[in-house]
Amino acid sequence: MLFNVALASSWSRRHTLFFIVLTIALSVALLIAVEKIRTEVRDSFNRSVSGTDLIVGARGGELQLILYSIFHIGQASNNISWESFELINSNKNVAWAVPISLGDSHKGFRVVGTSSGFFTHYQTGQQQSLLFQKGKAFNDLFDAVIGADVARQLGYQVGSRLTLSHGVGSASFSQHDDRPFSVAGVLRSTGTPVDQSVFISSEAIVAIHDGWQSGSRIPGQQISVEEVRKKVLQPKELTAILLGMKSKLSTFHLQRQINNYKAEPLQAVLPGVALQQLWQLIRVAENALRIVSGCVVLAGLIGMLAVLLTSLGARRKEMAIMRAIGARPWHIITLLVFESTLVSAIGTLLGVLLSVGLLMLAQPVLETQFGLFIQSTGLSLDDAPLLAGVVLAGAATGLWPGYRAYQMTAADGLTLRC
Amino acid sequence: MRIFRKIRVKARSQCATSVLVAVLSSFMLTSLVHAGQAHEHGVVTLDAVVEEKLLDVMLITPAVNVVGFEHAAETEAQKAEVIQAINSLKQGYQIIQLPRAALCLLKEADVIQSLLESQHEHEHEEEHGHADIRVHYQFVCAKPEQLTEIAVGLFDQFSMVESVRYQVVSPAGQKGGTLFSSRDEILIRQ
Repeated sequence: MLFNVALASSWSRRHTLFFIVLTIALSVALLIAVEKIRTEVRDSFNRSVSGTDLIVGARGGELQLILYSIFHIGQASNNISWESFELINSNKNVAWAVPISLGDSHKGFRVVGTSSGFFTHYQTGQQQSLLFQKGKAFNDLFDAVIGADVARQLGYQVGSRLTLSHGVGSASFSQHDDRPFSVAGVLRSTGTPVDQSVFISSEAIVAIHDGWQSGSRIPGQQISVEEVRKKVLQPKELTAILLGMKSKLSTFHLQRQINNYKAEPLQAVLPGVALQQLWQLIRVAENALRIVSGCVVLAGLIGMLAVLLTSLGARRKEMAIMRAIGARPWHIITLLVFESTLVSAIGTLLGVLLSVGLLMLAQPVLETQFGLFIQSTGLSLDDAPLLAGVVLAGAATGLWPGYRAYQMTAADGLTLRC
Repeated sequence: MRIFRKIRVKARSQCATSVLVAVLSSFMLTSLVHAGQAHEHGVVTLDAVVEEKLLDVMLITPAVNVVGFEHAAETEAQKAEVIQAINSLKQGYQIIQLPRAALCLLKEADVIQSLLESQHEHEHEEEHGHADIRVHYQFVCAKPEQLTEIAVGLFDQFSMVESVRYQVVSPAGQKGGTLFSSRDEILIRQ
């Protein structure tokens, strides 16, 4: 009976309430979208590398090493010598070692010089090996394997020809146009920086720089592709090494050995540990996002409070008549709390639908423009307490207007001056 | 804003989150950088590996954290102090506290130190080097899947220990971080 009255009363003011429902829906949609993107960003970071026990690079920051070797952000502080790679590779505890040479690019995508072992050993996510969408790993010196995003954005297929540029800027002046590559394979999408990389062999990195000095071509010196093929292409330097151990028990022993290596300043980091450090940094930004979206929800609720309080003026007669026909104070409070609960519940529901719809729409854009791979746009169970909290806070918002309405006596609304 | 844009242009093909990281890390990197094997007073490094039924733990601490000095023990009192520290470090169950359900047995507890040495060995030692004490523990666990956390009991016993920097490798993945006396548990899996 009371609820019917409340419903009817709310319905009569549906235009005002519609907007407040909309405000709450938008704020809840924002809240959920932020939560979703936050968790997806974290997952995509954690997905980026697995199955690698150690990453070795020049001594410097641990984070810096993982940023340039895995995420291709920034530059290596220094290269490491090929002798160190061979020494580490021959260590009895090392199951596999994959070299990584960075420094060149192709139309804004990083070129990674590596061995074919990369495709068998590198894993992303929960121990998922890299898979070929088409083609296979490089065989020939001038073969390249490209990530899924490279293939999609540049429209490359197996057999496409590509020219690499020296340096990592997309408008690099020095082109390795005398030594074109052909695409041998296209990797399946992983949602990691692998998608945005062009892979060639370490020897090919040497080959394209043959006849170069200090980052530019030596004038007048032309070495044909055939001549380059005949040369012994022994890399002298590399940027980083990915390592897999035979037994995890020797991980730390090798790490200490590498860190204390006297002949060259090297460092070995555990990718999982470095990722965790990285995540601690991002937590600052993450919390800022949460606070902002929390404030938006708060603003929505305060808006609802304002609307409910203002409506009391217009509802004086309604309240007075209710009191006159025998409604108790708690009836009045229930009436208003019911209304605020209804409004926030509908708003939350609408917000959830809105966020799911928005994320579905934004998903392809996020993936192509920002490389952010959203696995599912659906709601996770983790959001449930958050949403329940919003509805509960909405319900509580009705308490104060309810109390105010009860304070206005019955007589107040029945006097003639209104 | 301009700086932000510059970085963005550079990393256009990277994910937006990476840009964020780049910006953040460019000014926060220095604070987190630490050399691999630094000798920092007050800081203990702990490396633990879980493989099959074995739990292998290596503690490396500056000697000052456990005995209060780093030179070779000279007086009888100093020697006694070193021996006492070695004995308490060998109490593997107190230092490395494991969940009962994992049913772990301490197989080995070796303390490697250079403070108590015979005169001959002492002559070869570096003159003013900092001294580290290394402790190696090996546990055999009947139910390694129950190894959900490791509590480190160093803080109660050695008041000089301020923090423990840990790295853990387990079937659940790699973990790393820093422990303090207020939070002395490493969560291996949630």
